[in-house]
Amino acid sequence: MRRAVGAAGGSLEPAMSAVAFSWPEGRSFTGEEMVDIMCFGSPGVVEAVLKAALEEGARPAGPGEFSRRALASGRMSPLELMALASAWSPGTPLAGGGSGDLESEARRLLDFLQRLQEELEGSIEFGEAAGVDSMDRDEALAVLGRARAAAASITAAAAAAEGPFRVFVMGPANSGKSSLFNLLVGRKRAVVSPEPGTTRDGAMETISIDGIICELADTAGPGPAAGPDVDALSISLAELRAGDCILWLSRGGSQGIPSWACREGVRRLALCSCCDLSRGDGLNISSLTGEGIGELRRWIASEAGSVGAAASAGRLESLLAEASSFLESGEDGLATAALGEALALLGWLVDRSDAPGTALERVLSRMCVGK
Amino acid sequence: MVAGGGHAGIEAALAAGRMGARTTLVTLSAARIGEMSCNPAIGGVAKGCLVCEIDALGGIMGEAADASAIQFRMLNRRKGPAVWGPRIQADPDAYRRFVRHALDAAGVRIVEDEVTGLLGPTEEPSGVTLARGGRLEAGSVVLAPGTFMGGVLFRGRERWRGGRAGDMAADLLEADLRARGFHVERFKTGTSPRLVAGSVDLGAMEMQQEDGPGFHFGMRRPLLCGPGYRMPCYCTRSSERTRAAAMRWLGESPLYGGAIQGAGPRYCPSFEDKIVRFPDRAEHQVILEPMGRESRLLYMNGLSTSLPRQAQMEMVRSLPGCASAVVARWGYAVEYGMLGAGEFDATLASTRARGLFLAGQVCGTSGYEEAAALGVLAGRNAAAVAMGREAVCAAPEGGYLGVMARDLARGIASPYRLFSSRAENRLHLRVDNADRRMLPEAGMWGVARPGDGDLLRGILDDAGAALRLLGSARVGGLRALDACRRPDVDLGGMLTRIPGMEAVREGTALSVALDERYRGYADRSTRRVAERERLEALPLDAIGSFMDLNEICWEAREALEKARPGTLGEASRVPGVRPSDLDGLLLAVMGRRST
Repeated sequence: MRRAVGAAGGSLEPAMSAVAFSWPEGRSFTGEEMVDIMCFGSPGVVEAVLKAALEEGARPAGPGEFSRRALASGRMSPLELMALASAWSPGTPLAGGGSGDLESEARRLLDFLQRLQEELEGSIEFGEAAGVDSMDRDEALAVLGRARAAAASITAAAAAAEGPFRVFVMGPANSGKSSLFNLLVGRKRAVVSPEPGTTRDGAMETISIDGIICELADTAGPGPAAGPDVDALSISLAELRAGDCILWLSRGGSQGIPSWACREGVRRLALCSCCDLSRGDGLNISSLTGEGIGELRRWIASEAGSVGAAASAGRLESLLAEASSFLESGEDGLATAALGEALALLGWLVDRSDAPGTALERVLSRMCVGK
Repeated sequence: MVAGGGHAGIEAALAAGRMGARTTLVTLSAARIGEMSCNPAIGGVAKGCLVCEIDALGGIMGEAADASAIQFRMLNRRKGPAVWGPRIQADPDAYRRFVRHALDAAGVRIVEDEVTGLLGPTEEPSGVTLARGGRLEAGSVVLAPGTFMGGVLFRGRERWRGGRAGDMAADLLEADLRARGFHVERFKTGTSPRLVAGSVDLGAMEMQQEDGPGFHFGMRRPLLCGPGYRMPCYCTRSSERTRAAAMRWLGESPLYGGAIQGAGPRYCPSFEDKIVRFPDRAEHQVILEPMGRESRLLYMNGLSTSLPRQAQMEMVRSLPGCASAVVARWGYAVEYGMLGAGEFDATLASTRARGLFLAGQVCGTSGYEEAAALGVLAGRNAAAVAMGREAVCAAPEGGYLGVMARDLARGIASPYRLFSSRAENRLHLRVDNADRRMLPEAGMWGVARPGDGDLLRGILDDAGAALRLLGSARVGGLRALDACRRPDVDLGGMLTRIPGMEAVREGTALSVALDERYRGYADRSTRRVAERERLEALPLDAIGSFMDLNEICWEAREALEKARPGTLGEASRVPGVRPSDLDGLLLAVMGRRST
């Protein structure tokens, strides 16, 4: 390093050289082998060090890369990551080191639910064959009630840390965006008209899909003419960030997703809309007949659950509520199924088990480089 | 040719017969074909469902159980139809008679002899050798020796060769298989003492009667409902005295003394196992089950033991109501040979010998129901191979038989008992839809009974009609189909109020309503399984360089480029690759359809 910087800087004094610490694998923040370079804060020295490193084949890190690596190597759980993120966005309940509590609360909840699940399974397999049923149904329901309260507090904290999961309905003019929007919202909000370009400014609604809270945005289509349409769209595009999701509509799938909508970390699904009129190759939907809407809702729910911790925690809450009602009405098989899904979600939240899907792109994209 | 007259051998012989094969069953004792060597009961949670599957596949166990039942009980009645467990107490004599009659009616030739080994080269045996009868040529062979292959019985310090109390073992068979290079492992199981019914004060015990409305396993002959009488069971509990007696003699236990090497059943432990493993539990339930009216014996469910006679006597006499009980047969443990992982595949075919199939305890199971179900599959496949056709697997998503065959082929460490939680989708594997799940399999496999095609068509027509009616009728402001999903709705009552439903088989209508009730969760679990399997096999060879895949994060690109996995399943096991990256890979492979 001294040689490299010396070569780059030309005239550096030996006293000005950088000091490098090496961290063996498993001991660094990200768990990877790492070198920490400390140097004087003079821009000239920093530049020289950077230049030397880049010339040796290094590249600059992207936003949140260190945390991403820590997550990938299993050094951090999604909840820890969110706690870290909240340090970057002051004013959230997680800020100020309260995060560790959330993490341990989730772990406690996991243990709690695992024991309950074991007890339920035992009662199903052996309870009556052994003559006595050891499971106390009222006690199990009380346990579930406490678990729901814990899940609710995790949801609230996670939602505050990462912001909502946003779904943008996009597509060419008159491709049925507003009809789909209204259908998903469950009431008439956007003005629908066969006249292209009717939706001038985007409408935004908070909806719940399978217990997952999403913000749904209707965007104006890129109409043939310039003007308000394009403005509204560019506002939407400026809003778009990693972790969001685009539903791209075109009649019968006639238009693919344009490249400007393909951004890193943005999930997208191309839909063949108005399939009652013309069908295409892909998921066909019709807001008129309802075809494909169930599948679309499932897709949104699974995408949201795979991206956000808050969405997962919200789903967790509703699964626990379902488990309670199944247990109350004597459907223990369903209760264990709901608990099983809840455990998978919770396991993912605290442990990066392979349960649902991706990591928290949205959190990561808001984080600065570094720890 | 089938070796063994237990529950596996019986079903194997009958299934082969239904396939059209000429079948010979070799057994050490023709009089004890279909014996219930352990407790006199059939069914339970998951096991009961398995019996319904056997019945749908044309097997005899369901009808034999119906015909010999002296008590019908539906376990988990208050826990929802998804986990109901039909179970009967059987009159073992009536059961044996029924089964023997079925074998004779099917024209199965029964030979009383001992199978001593395979005939001819290991890779392609041409039959088996017999102790008395020389050689028996056969197109294929099903081995279902139960605990008889190399069986050794233990009680205290007593130790003797045998397959079951009072019967000899098949030692030469185990020796022959070992000599031919089969990996024979040792498993262990045990059974309880039987009491003379008249010596027990049943008045001091809690009586356990049948519960609620009846059911039957057999879907073709619902008129079979027992030998004409019913008998209750009696519950009692072990006490500190029982525990103390067992502890005092623990030094003479073959299990804890080290005489038995084989792995015992985790989920059906002996009494001494229970007190060692759960020292804090003050009492254990013991249920006295009648062994039929004529036998006048009581089976002590929960008191399986291999302690010496003196210990057994002390333990028995410590139980309330048993102060002067007379033990008619003593409990004992049995260690036997079985073939472990890698020795057979999910079709139950031996991986070493062509035309050799395995069923029952030799595959590592415990339990009559498990053995019988494997018997159907092994017998079917043995007959198919003998006639130049392909062996089949049972689908794990379609029934418990498939779940079990898959688990066994993967390998197990101790005797395998079927549980409903071993299935990924138990909400779908129910008693009520066993007919719709397995009758089509029976038809495709060729093991269906005459008339089953019409039976299935009738059921499917009814199911379609029920679904249509549920879709159009309204109940309390809801579409009936949607009402089914509400767990608080009483489905039976709702169905009776839907006009037109009376023309549909009651069981089928309820089953269709239950499909709806469980659909959400069942579909999700089915999708998870299907997804996993699809992902497993998806080839990645279309990908030139993993570094060019913009869909996935770059750490994963690096990891994948280094590992160069061939399938998505392999990719999922590359460290550093996350499920989201797999989604990205999937997108890339599918031609980036969404971009």
